[in-house]
Amino acid sequence: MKTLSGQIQTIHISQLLPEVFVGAMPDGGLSEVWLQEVDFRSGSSVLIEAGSGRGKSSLCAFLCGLRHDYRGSIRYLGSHDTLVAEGDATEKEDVRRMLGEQLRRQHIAVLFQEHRLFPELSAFDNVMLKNQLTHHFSAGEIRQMLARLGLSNRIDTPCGRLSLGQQQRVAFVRALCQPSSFLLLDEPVSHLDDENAEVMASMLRERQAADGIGLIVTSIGRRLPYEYDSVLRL
Amino acid sequence: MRLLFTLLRRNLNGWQLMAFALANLLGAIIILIGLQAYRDAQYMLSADDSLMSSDYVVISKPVGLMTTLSEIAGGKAPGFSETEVKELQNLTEVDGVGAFQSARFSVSGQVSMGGQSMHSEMFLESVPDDYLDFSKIGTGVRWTASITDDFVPVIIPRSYLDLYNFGFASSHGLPRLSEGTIGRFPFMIYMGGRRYSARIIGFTSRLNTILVPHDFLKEANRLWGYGEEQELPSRLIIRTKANAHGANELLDIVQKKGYEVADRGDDALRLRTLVFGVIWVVVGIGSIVSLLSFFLLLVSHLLLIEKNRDKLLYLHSMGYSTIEVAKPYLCLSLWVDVFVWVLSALVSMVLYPWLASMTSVAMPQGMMAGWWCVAIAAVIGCAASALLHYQVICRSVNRHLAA
Repeated sequence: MKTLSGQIQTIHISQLLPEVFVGAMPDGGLSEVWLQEVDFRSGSSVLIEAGSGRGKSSLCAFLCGLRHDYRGSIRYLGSHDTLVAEGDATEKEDVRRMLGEQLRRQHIAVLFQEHRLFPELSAFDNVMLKNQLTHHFSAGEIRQMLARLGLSNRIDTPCGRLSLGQQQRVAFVRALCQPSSFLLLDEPVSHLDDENAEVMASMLRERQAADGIGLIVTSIGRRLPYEYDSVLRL
Repeated sequence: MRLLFTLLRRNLNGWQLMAFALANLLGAIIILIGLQAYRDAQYMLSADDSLMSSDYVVISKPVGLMTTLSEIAGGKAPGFSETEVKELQNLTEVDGVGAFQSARFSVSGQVSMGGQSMHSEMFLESVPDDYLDFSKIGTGVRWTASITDDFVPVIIPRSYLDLYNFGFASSHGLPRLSEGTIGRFPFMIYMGGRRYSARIIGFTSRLNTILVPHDFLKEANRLWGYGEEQELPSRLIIRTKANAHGANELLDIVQKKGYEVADRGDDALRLRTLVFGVIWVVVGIGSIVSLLSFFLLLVSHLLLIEKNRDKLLYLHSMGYSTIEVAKPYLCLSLWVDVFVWVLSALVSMVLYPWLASMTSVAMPQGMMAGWWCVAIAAVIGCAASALLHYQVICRSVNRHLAA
């Protein structure tokens, strides 16, 4: 399978549409993303807004190679190479899976809407489970980040006993453990208060300033307070 | 890796795993003990002087009243034709067929011992050297002779010595002789008008006749023999193939043709088949127990993967590859496989000699050296089991991630 060396400069989506929307686009098909030509560039920040059931989580899953049930194509343009994921099932399942593994392991970090934490592991261990793949931070740095988000007294608490807001912050720190070209945040502040949302935004600014990553943030209404380059209606 | 193990072992039932592993261990022990028994049985049964060393069977045509009358009237003694010999040679269980050759001339022998002299008519036979077995007396013994020499080596059945020691010697006040001492007594053989110095150079358990070298008797028959030179052999010696499983079949064919098997060779062959049959049943039972427990172990792994399906998907969405996700299960199964086969090898190495001593089976010298066989079998068993585990677990994880 082809691999992408270096960073992804641009993610280009072309005529992308979830299979479930074929012939049944919500709201009569008025979208600035579905069935359009859209570029997401590294260093930029894009907010994608939509109501419930418009496919925000599906878009994130398509972009990070976790799902392939779509029409159209996604191109990951590096400085030298391009990876292409096609929606039609021409490629074998294991090739697609390897592409997804490569994307999520090297190029794209994701904060899932449903957090995807392991309730039996502590907040710290949940983050370490990702960090031991990437070795991006030291244990001390991870504790500092969790403390910064108000979780200093919950670091060793099993995630199953944390509130949804606390879980969202743990999942955010876990996403930061992935050195990447893009960071996908699927409704990142849906369970957060303004204060914690602001801390999250400031950590993102620092990360973007340091690494020049591209941000793709989705929102159902409540926005992550950030300076977006563009806002797209899904 | 520690975190991954902590996470994925949550639904693991330790007692269940241990029960399957112990069942697997039991099966493996039975298999390895069976293999040791098989190897030792082969060793014992292939020993030349063993009770069941019936890789060889001597057959003849039955002698009845009609045969006797026919020979009195000057007819030929019944023998095996060339076609019949070829027919036997073509049987799949038969490795080779050798023809007995009888002396077709008058032979007599004389022994002088303790001031007494015995003279007797006697007979001589020979078989090709390939079919001969004997325990040698002393060293430097030659099993060749020519009619121009004045020495002939002789091999006699071990039972003849018993006849002498327990029958003749006692009633005539003569000393009993050991195998070692009898070879030191020379005796004379008279044949073809010549006198030959002879010496018993060995004893055979396989053939019940007095043997001289095959080439010698062929030459002697040509020079001094009466009747046709190409007389049909009256007895044949059949060498069966190394595996004894076809022995029963061979005996059935021989009996159907109306031939007679000499020296209870048929019983020995059937006993040999029975011994191997029992061993294979033991190995079969061990294999069934082992296979069943292996599949139960495999099913428990698959159920564990099924129970952890969401965790596998989450790990995969975090960037863990299929093989990384499968690694805890692969390591677990590998540990179980290594535990089962190493322990079963050690236990069977200790248990088998004990079982053999309990059942009073006489163990041939050097049999314990067969432990390397157990080690190799255990390594093969462990490798096969681990490979199958690897294939099935990876496939199962793949299937769950693709779903």
